[in-house]
Amino acid sequence: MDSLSDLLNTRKERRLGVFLILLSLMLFLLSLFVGEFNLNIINIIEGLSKDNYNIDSVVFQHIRLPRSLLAIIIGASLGLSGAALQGLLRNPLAEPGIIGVSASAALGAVLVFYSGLSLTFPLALPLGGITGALLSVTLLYLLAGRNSSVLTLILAGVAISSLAGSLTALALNLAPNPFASMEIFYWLMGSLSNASMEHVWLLVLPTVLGWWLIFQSRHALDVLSLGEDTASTLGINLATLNKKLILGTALCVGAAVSVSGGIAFIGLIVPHLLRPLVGHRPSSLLFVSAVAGAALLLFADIIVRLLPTQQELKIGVLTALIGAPFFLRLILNSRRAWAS
Amino acid sequence: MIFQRFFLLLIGLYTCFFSTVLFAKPQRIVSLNLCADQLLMELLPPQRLVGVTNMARDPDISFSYQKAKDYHAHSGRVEEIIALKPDLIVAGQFTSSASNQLLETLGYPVIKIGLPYTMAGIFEQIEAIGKEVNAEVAAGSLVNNFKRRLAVLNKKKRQAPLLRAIVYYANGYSAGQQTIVNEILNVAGFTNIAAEEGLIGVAPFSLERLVTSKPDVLILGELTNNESSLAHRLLQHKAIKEMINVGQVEKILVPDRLWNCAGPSSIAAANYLIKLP
Repeated sequence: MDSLSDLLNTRKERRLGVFLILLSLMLFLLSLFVGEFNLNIINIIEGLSKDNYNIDSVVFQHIRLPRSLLAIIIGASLGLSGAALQGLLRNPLAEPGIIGVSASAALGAVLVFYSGLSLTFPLALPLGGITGALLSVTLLYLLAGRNSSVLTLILAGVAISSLAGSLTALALNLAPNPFASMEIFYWLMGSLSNASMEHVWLLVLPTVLGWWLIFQSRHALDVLSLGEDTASTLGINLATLNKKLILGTALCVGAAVSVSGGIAFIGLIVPHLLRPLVGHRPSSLLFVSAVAGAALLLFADIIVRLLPTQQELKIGVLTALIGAPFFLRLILNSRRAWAS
Repeated sequence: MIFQRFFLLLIGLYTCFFSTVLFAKPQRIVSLNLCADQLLMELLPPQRLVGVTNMARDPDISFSYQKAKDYHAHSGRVEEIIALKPDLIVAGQFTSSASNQLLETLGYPVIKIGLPYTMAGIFEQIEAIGKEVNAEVAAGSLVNNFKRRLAVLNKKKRQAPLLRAIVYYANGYSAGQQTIVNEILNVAGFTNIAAEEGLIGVAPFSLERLVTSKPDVLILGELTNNESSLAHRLLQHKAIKEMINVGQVEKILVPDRLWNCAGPSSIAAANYLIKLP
């Protein structure tokens, strides 16, 4: 519990943290056992030894497990980067999907994937996503800057999103592959179906690096919420902080998108629901947003599997269905702030 | 009397005129559909089949790609087709309907051919098209040849117990009931698991269902090697490899050109499945 007390300040926050961790664990277990096929636990345990390897353990180890792990890792990255971006830009509507970071990461990944570069060395795929994300966060930071109005940020995001989206479509249409037009949808909406363990390995290193960079700057984020001038008089090196946060978000969002496509709105919903519960303190918000993001994506992924659609619904469709009305409500609530 | 004769002559001329218009045999035929290409190339020489799609020359998807070198290939654009001065256009049911409609509006006779999903349906289609393009003799001998090869195949094919097979395409699709692939599997002596499970047409079949369906034979398209698409990456999924190991599943790669159309290629596809050890 030592590390938890380091990440969360008050006892109430720690209780929230523990609750969210337990919720995620429960959803993780549920996610392992939800599917078209009922797994037999005894077979799975027996299958752990090579001699008794059976079909149940193939499904468990190669279909269910990577999928649930990806939901946890990607959900946490999205929740965390939403909270971090909102702190960095001091703007409540900052979210990787809305401001175009996911779309740019998708573009980077698409370029690497369809050019065949990812065949020569597999890590090229997440690197492509990370490069795309990094370019767009930097561009946004330059375009919309800090302390700019909500409107400027959203409009800059719309511009970047549509540019990246159309370049993705262009790249896919130039790719010599008959499925390209169907796959545009995958990259822009996101999906976890048919994930494999290789994806988890590809994702894990850059993601953990990104998380580490973001968590390192959590105290500086607290100080930054007092305003830039106050922060620099209190000894915060703003340039370093910005670099860390931008690189951290780019690493974890870029890696996530390169594996699953852009899943929207997780990074918007989660920090907003939790912010009042952690006393609006950015440093505490980071950890709970990560855990709750994982829980939300696991939950959405379970729902997608249970829905009786002929072909599985893309998970991004579901998160957008939940997230878009939420986004609208946020905009309506902050209309007064926009007028200023 | 003279008037009566003149009247008869007039009627004669009229019938003559109409019969040439109504019953004229089309001389310049253009195909807008890959499957129609393959059928028509069996029936007509290049002088009468004046245009096939440029897909017909693609060895990955066209069964008669070599034959297609002797025919003129078009890109499917309406102006290009008009320039070929066709007097009959053969399209598929699913050929982009805008160009179909435009050609019909411009007064070109267009016939649309469907996708038969049984061997009997293939025979009917060949004979019907043979009539339309005035190549009944060629159509008749094509059908006879087809039937002869089918009889040979029936003798050679594996008898009971039937092997359980499943077809898996890029993007996680399988072929169920009412598909020519299902008919080919049955003709070659396999039970099609997807059809048994009630899948109709070519429809999504999840990876989990595939892995747990306990097949004896897994049939994949040969385009599997094209890894630069998500659709094909699915076919490389570790779970499929593990299923093949655990269930000792035989894997057969079938070139797509053998069974993306119903017709002359279908018997070749069935033979291909059987000749394998």
